[in-house]
Amino acid sequence: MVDIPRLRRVGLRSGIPVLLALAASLALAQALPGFSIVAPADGATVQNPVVLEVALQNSVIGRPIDGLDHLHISIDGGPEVAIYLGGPISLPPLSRGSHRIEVELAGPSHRALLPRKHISITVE
Amino acid sequence: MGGGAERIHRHGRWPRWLHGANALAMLLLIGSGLAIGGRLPASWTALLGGHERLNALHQGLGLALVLAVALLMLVVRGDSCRLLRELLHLHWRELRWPLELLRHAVRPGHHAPPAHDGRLDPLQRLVMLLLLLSAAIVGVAGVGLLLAVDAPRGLLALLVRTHVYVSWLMLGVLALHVLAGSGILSTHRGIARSMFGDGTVPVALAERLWPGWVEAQRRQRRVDRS
Repeated sequence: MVDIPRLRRVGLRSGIPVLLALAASLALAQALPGFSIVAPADGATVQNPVVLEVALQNSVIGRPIDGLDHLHISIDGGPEVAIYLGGPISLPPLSRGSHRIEVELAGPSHRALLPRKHISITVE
Repeated sequence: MGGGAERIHRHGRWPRWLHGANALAMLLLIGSGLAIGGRLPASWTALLGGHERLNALHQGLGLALVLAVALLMLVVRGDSCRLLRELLHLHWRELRWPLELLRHAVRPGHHAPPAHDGRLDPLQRLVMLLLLLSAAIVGVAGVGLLLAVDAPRGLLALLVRTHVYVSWLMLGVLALHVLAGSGILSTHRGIARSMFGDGTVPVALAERLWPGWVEAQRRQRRVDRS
């Protein structure tokens, strides 16, 4: 004879930790942000105005006051500029020659979430 | 009116130095905070070292100020408690004080300076209480942001909102404090030297703003002489 209440108890005992582990791993996977510089390609030769495109994973660009992330952009090691709007980013006019563009993804508390990434481009 | 020759000592060297250091730290924190929040032109932010450098300055200086204030309050806890008690000591009748002071400033011959016994006038107490309260909330939220790096987004947003909105409130109250302390107002002319000078104020000004305190000082002097 099948003991239904016992089966329920066993099911609950073994099922709850599995569900919790699954939820935790899902939450962890969702919480891990990522980003990559899509355009211009590293080593590309471009013309002004240079438009930077950054692809984001598990991250939304916006105001820290809304709990959203933002980008820090630096050109040739100069002072960083914070970008609080999503979408393509128009860089200020660059002089002819090679330039290094560095991008960092920062959280609402302005801390870097990941190591910064960079590309080198040549403006003609 | 406030430029009379007779002056009375109001603040010692230590309070003046601490007030100056605090004012400088607050200026740097407000400037860097406005730059981080994108409230200053991008060219100014770049000129001041860029977003990340200003952010590091804001966080480092903010944390240092919170720790320094906490340590100072512990070291001089007797004075800190006395100040808090003094600030919280408000009477309903003192709500009329600002209006009565204004009446006195407009027609000094017709209206006597409003009376109160405090070392600080009622409006000064209210402003200082709001300043301390808002600064404490801003400081706690700021330290919370430093500590809660991996906190859920909702909590981070709540901390940022608290830090930013209460900072705006604090800026408003600070503007009142600066307005009074600068001595621009005719009711407060000559007060600036009490914090950014030799620590004295004209006796006429002291009698207008803190009549009970002036009387207590005179009584103390008479006791000291005898």
